[in-house]
Amino acid sequence: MDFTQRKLPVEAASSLRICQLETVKPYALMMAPIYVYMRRNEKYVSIKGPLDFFTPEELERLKPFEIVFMPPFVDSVLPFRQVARRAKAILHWDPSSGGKAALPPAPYELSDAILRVVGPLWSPDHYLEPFFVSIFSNEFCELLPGDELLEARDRDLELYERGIFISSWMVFLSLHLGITDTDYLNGLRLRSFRKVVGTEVSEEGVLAFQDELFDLLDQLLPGDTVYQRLGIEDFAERSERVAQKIVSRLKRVQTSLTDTTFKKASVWGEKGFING
Amino acid sequence: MAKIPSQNTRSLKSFGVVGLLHENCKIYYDSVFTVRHIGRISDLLVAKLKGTVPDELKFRALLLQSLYEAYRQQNKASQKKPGEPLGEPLTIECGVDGEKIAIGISFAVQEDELQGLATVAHRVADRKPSNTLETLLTELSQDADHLIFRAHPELKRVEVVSMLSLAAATSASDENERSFEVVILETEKSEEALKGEYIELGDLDYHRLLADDSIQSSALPKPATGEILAGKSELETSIKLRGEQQTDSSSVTISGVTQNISEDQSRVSGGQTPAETNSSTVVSGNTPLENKQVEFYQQKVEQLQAKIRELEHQRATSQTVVAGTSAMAASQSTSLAPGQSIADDQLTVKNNNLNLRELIEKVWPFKKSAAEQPVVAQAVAAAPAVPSQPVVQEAPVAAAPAASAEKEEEEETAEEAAAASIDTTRKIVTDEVGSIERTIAKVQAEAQDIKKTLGNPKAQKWVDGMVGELVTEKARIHEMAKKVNVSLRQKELEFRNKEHVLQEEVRKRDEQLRQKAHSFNRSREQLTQLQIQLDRIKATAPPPGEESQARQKLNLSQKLLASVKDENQGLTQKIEELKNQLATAQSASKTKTQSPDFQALKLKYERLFKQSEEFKRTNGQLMEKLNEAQRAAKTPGMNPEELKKRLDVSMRLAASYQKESEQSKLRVDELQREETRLKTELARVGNAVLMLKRASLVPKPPGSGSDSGSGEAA
Repeated sequence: MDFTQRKLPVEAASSLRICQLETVKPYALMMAPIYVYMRRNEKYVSIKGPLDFFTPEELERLKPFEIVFMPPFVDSVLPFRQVARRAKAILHWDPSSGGKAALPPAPYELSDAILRVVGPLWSPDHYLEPFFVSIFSNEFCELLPGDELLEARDRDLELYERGIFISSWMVFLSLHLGITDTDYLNGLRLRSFRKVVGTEVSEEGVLAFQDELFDLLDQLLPGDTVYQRLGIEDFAERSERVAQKIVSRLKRVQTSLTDTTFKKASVWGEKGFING
Repeated sequence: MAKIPSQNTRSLKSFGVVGLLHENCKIYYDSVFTVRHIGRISDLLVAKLKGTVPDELKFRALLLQSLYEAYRQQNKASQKKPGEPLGEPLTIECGVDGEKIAIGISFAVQEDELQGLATVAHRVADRKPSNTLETLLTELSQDADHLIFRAHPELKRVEVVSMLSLAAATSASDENERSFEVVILETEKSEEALKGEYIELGDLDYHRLLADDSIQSSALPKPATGEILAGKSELETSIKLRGEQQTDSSSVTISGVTQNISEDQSRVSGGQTPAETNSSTVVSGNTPLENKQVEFYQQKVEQLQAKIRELEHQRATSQTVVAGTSAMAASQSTSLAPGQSIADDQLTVKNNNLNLRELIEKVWPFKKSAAEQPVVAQAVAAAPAVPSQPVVQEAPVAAAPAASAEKEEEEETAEEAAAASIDTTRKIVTDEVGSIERTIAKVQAEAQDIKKTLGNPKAQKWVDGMVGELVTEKARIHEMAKKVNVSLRQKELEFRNKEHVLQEEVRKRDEQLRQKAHSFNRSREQLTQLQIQLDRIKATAPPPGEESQARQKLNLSQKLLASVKDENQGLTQKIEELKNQLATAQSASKTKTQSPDFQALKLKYERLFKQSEEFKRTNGQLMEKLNEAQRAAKTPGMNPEELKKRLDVSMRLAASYQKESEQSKLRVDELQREETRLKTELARVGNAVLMLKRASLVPKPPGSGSDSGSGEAA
């Protein structure tokens, strides 16, 4: 994804966040621009943009750097990653694992719990930018296959980003609609990505739900508008069944689950990475 | 005519129950991947629609039957094994408006299930299904007031919507009123979507809805045995039925605010009543009730500890007594002569009586009646003093190891000794009782003989009294023996428990010992490895000859270092001196450059410069005058001769000024040359100073030993 500051002066050191390179997995989408410090130039030079990824070879090559740097923007992304981990923990919770005889939670209980966790991610004005949704889905789901990511990125960067955004929205909205099967959601993300970038090999059965939601997103975010934020009003304007269901859930978020203390996150402006 | 005619519906040409209901309908929906929770879903739906659903059983039957068949069909279509989660969620929709309830489930089917769609209505009506899907439809059509079957052949997707009329009185009363409708959908979405209020089941207050059916405290009948108003124990008040527990929504961890959720606290309750699931609640300090309970249990623990101390004390005393008894038995057997013990029966009886009494006095705080005192005194007086004294004195000595044992091994041996002594005591007690019985029988027989021989009635009475006392004593001894047996059994039990505990401890110790041995072995292995490494290092280390050489080198280099340091100090001093010299030389050169000739020349130069400036100024004035003269010449009425004269004069003046200026220019050139010469001289002096400086830093000859310090300084 495009970003403004390709190089940072050495004075920016105090505000940069440090990340250990060995903790970065290959093909994981980056949450912010990644910089390394060039000693000779005395500058921080970007090596990866947001939503880009490292290949295993790149990671090996960059090993001597040991640490990489991220701008303070990453602080606004971390809540999404954290909530994704919590949501995953909820769906993987097995009450009988502790040796107790207990009934696993019912779908409606899981759906309720997930909405309580995920709902506050919507900004106080009930909008969300696709970049943050991508970060959520990247953490919540398994990583997309490396070869497919690589191929899609090298072929058409815009299409690659559209694939990432649409597939992430699919997962995020499915969770809102009470879909709580992680295997299905992983598959849904992969199928949606393939469908956008045009590498879908074969359709696995009849996927009515997927098609319904995919069509809605395709109509809401045509072409370049995929970078635009989505909110309750966008869904309320639609008359599709799945849009109505999303609206009913977002209304609950609006009335009882909005976190007013949660700062509005955006990739644009001074606090974002596109500020030029 | 069908009870729920299709004319009342908004749309049939799209999936979903919304088209079959009015605009103000509410549609409850949920998605499932397995059939594990369909019972709970039906429970929640029934709870939500309580009072609306006319026939709960029928509603549940329709829902479960549809779900079961939908799961089977979709499982088959997505080529999954039975029981596996579905590849695509099954979405259950339950819509309700003022007239009817619609239960809709859409699912994927295999192609062969969709053959003969045109005639499926007839087959269902005739109850002659051709496949499993039609069987489902046939069964559902029997229960539902109206059944709608939608099929999308191209997508291989169907939807079954069972509808129930809310008019309870007439529902399902007449089979003729039931209707079945088949809708075949086209590929394109022909109709626009319809509005309805969708509610996900998770958005319902399911805790409250599902808690409604549980037992409420208000519904419990009053107890027949009376209501206790005060003095209830805290434990009793804390015990509540499940139905009495109130759902405290504030205690639920997942509160919707991300910041409040810590990772280890975010859990989901698996049960229907969140108050029961401790995992889903946050415990924020003890409640007053819990504090009271804690106090109560603390008191209990203190009481039990006191009891344990008491029992320990009792055990110690019993051990002492038992040890004393065994010692007594031993001393008795050793103190008597072989012939004496059997020959003198009376003495035996007295001894037995005495020993048994001592034993009983030790075991029980037995209070004897005043009448018995003389008998005992007599017996004590008549008995030889040999056996009794040592027994009493030896008893604590024998019990001392057991009482004062601190180490557990010693305790264990003491326990074993005590157990052994219990057996002996029991044996002794039974022996004593048997012997006293024998003695009484013997005394009775002898008393008969004495009675016969003694005609004195006083003596006869005494004998009778004696025998009577003996009999009562016998009875008492029996009782005592029983008590002793019971206490012994108790002690035995205690000892066994103690033994268990000790064995456990021994086992733990063994385990610790084993671990220590293991760690010891490991450290030994490490030590050996270190030793090996050390050996290797030694092997790779240079031979002793080389080492001595290295030492010598080291010493030499240290000496050299010291000498170099000294030299460095000397050199630094010299540098200081040279610096001073340089400073003086520089001052001298300065004075040299400021010689009187130079100053005079400088003054001359300045003067000439000023003169040239003045000349320039006058020249300028003259030029102005010339111009004025020219202007005047141009003007009519001026004498040409005068003008010529003036011109000549001015020309001469100009020539003289020009000469002067040329001369001054030459002088200036000379002065500049002089300046450059002086500058070169100054440079030469500077070089000389530098040379001097370098000469001071030049290394000394090899013999002087200053071979390294200069390089560094340079």
